Amino acid sequence: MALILFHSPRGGTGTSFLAATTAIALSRAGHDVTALDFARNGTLQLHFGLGPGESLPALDAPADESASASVQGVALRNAAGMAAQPDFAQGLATGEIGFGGDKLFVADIASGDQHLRDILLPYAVLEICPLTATAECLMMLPAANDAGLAKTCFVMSKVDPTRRFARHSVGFLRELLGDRLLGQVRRDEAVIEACAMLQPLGRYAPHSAALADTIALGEAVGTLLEDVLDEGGEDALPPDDTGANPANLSGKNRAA
Amino acid sequence: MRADARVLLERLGKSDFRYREFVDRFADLESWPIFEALLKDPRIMPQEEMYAIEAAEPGDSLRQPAPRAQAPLAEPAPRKAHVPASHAPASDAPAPVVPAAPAVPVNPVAGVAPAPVTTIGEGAGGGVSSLFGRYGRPERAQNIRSLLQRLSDAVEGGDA
Repeated sequence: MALILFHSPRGGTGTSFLAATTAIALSRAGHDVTALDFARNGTLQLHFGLGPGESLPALDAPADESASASVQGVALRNAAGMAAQPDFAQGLATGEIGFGGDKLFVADIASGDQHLRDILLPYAVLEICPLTATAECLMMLPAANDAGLAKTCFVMSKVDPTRRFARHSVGFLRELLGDRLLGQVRRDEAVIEACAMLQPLGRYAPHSAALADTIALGEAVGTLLEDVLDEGGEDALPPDDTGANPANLSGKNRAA
Repeated sequence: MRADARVLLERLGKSDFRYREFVDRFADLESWPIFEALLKDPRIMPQEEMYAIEAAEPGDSLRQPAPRAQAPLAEPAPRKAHVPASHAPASDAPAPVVPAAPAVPVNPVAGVAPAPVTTIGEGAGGGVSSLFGRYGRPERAQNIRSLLQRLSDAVEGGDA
């Protein structure tokens, strides 16, 4: 069906958490979702309540081995091993490895693995880039732009609205990115505690602020995904040819 | 949180609350140098656009950006997305190269050829500069807040 990448040019932005919660949200919306952990020593499984002692089946594992690795309707696979193979890019190019069928693949890519992101991006329909309200993270934007953002939407992650710079950053990015800013997820201690309890956030803190935000984000991603798949991507994302037209400066945000 | 507020929220069935959204979006926006630096970065605002602004309006307060060795926002060739015919925009552009699938695809993921790659915009990097191009206007303002306010006024006033 489709591949959605989660990648941020900056570490510590909650990419794995957002990938996990979005995968769960899309699964609840009726999609057949597989979450792929492309990070070596990744922590994606932690957000599904699986501890470090539980290894995920490899992406190319036989069906009988991988059948049990499903949490909250999302099938979990470790794709880091396959991505490390020297012929991974070739396998993608030849179709030996593909992301077709009825499944929806949500890929969690480590922030430092820009190369893998670049390899996978042509096969993805959408990229979600979490950003945090820090100057260090915003400083990555020009470099990210250089790497190509035609399929990229953004999420403000770990937002503490009681902090000045966080509020200003959200306002600034809302104007800068317009509808490409899908929403914001508030900083929430419940996320940390849920991981420590080896429980998914929805089970540990079903009324938490971060969960409410991620549900809204999942809905926004689901809507956008339907648009992309229905419209072939031509008009799905907000136009990037806004140019110098001030009429497009309003930067209406879908979810924020 | 105050206890009475917590009790009230519980009675209302509200477990969380959001900060108030100000009517004036820019009232709470300050001019952080990092914001201005981003807007003046040639990778965010295309150099040629800045040159045009400078040429059209000499004396503009914008500082000319330092030339870059590499053309900004150029599309790296390997990243060019290939678009199936069914998804390709109607144009005279040459047909993209789609790698030939093996006779018997062996797909550990889905057992089919790569998913149709939808191209949004003008390719994986093409035209991306204008994603940030909403600020591609003469930027005399010395701070972000006044710039945003001015642009918002222009929109609301129907000048745009």
